Amino acid sequence: MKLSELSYSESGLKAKKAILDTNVIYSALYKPQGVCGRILLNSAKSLSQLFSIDFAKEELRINMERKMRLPEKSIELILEALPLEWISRDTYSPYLRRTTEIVKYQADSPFVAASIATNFPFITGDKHLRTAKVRRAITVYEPREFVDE
Amino acid sequence: MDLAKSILVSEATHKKLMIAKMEMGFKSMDEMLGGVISEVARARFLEGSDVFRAGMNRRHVSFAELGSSGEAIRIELFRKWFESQEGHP
Repeated sequence: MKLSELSYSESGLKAKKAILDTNVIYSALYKPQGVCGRILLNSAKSLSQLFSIDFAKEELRINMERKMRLPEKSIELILEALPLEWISRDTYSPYLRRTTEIVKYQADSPFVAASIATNFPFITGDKHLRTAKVRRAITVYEPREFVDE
Repeated sequence: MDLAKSILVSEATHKKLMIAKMEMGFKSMDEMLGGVISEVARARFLEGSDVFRAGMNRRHVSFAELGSSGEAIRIELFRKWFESQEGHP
């Protein structure tokens, strides 16, 4: 693990930093006792410092609105309950052009761009985002790898 | 760790906090309040998770369906947010 991935938590221990893909967030919300749930609960306990991007927040919001027909109040409650910080597009958009050539699907490039911009590793459940090409550009973990580290 | 701030609490709350700190074996008030904050964050997350799952059940949405609609929304959002930007594909 790189030194930049660590910061001091409130307890004085080193906290791991990482950027989450939305699939990790969906999974954590759906099954908080699972691996992805443990990742977010560790962040709630300040054992790690987690981030995702504003683009992911919007994806979550629209999905809950359209697919689950959740009222705005419930959507806000869920988004605010996530122990995450949201990285704004100003931070990662300068790296987008570079990352669209690395990822299989262009729409995934903001996550890789954010990982390059911050130097934080990226956690995803998607295999197509853990290819050798992506791994050459950023550190990628599958959820269990991050928990076991 | 530098202690930069103090907080005002009533005499009664101060007494309760001191008792809780001793009973629970925390080394400092800072450590105990940090623990309380973590528990609040944990409880909020679990509450959010309950609301999320209740929403899925109410609409009979499976986890797989949620994932695939998320992918479609991601493509739509990417076009809206970035493809119009000059210099981006």
